[in-house]
Amino acid sequence: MFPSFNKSRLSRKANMKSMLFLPTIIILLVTIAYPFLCNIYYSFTNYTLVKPVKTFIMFNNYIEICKSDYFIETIIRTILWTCSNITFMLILGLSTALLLNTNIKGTTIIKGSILIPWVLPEIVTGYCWKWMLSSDYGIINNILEKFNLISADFSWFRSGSTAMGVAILANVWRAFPFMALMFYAKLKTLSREQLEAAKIDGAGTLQTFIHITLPYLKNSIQTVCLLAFIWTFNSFGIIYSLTGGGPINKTETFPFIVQKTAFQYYEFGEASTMSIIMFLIMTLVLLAIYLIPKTISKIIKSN
Amino acid sequence: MKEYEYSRLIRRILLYLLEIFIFIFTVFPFFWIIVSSFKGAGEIFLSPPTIFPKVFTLENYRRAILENDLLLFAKNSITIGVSTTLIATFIAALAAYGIGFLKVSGSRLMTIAMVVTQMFPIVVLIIPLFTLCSRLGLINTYYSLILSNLAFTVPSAIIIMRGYFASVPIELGEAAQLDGCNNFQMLRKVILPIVGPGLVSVAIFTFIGVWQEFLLAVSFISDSKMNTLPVGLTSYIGEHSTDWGGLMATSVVIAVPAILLFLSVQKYFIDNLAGSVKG
Repeated sequence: MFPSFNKSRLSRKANMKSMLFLPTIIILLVTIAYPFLCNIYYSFTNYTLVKPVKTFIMFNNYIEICKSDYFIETIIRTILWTCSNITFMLILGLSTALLLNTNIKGTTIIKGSILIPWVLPEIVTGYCWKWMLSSDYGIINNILEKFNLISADFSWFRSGSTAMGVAILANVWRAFPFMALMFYAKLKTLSREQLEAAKIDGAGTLQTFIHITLPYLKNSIQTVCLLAFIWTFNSFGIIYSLTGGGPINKTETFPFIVQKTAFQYYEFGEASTMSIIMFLIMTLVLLAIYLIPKTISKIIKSN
Repeated sequence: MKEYEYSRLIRRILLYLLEIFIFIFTVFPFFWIIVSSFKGAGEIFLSPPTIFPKVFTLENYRRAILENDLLLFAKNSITIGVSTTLIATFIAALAAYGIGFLKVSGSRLMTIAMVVTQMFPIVVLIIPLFTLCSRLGLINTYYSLILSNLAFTVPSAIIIMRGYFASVPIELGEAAQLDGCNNFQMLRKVILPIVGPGLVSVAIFTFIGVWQEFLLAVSFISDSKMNTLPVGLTSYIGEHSTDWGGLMATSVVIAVPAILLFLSVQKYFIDNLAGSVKG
């Protein structure tokens, strides 16, 4: 594999490796490993900023939290939020990628324009949509009123479902360009011959897409979905700025309630417990995303 | 034949419509931030709104600077961003050199560790990070945010840089060794000149990430004089009314540098991402 110079150098300079990795390892121990272990410990205590003494209370927090309707609702809402986000991102991302891959005029402009949502800071995105959707002088509400689609006093932020809808819209707007560019990069490497061959065999556009393009993109779709899942599940800024979790907690997702419990109510123990449960759920889903396709293919092979 | 032509035309028209939709959808919000930031107090609340400002005014920017500490927040953001970037780039370059070029033992393990830490939700770490910083007396200082931002910038920087170091031909290393360079001299004289542009792009990317970081900043900082720009945005939202003009002006100050910086490294970055998201 590798020339021997490496090994011989290193045997003489055994400390080289530790010198190179040491700073990174220290940073990760101090800022990730140690806090993570602390967090697990806090989740078993009644730690609050108000009282200086921490008592160990075993699984009390876990039991209390899992019994509360508020928490169960948040779990369901977070799953809904994540799934609907990924669905719309995929649809929009795929269609944009396919559009970029055609020989139509103007794709260069689109390649530039989709960078804007991607780079715009999350918090700016949230406030910008809040401004465009505000009920008195929001530009979008104004246009919809002109076409008599909504009444003059309509507000998106009065009911949970419409507030969640616009939060998903803003988040999809922010994240779909990433998907589009990833799929487009992959599509560029799809050989033209294959597509031509399919055409000669008399396959229509849709058939070519289903039998050639989609299987070709399968792995990128999986990887990109995985990343999108992690980001969406953990996203905080959009909801904070656009809805603030309202109306009456109806748009609060996991990261939001952890942050609120910790830094508005200073219930550190409880917030730690919530974050550990959230972490467990996330890990389970990630494992499932990884394992399910593998298991299915194993079953198919064994038959 | 005629029918075939006809369906092609329909297809083209549909594609153009999709193009127009995506263009307006992606560009309009940003355009709206910019025009809103130049509208005066009377005009910003007009219904129906004007597309371009009738009277072009810098009043919102003036108010953001004089009444809302825009310059102070910008200074905080720049200080935190630049410090984090310098430290993270330096630390990550050392590790990426070990993983990507020297391929020292333990590289695989390090790489796996980086990928795993990437997946850690910030909220799982945020409470202990806060208590750690308060025990060290760092709350409401730049250090608390620099330290916590390092946790999320170093791993991703290493993952991207690894590729740059791996693409340096191994023969160069051998030649340098024959000339009697030790590993550090080799890094400085031979490798850095080659991977330099790549490292700059990683540094810029890291800066953008820290520049717009919100969750840590809003949780850790309680002294409003220490706010970063994104947290400064929240100060325009009042109990009963919102100063949309000032908010949009500050948004422009946050977004425009981020976009310009991103454009300077986008080519590097997108190719790299497309390479790392292997299918």
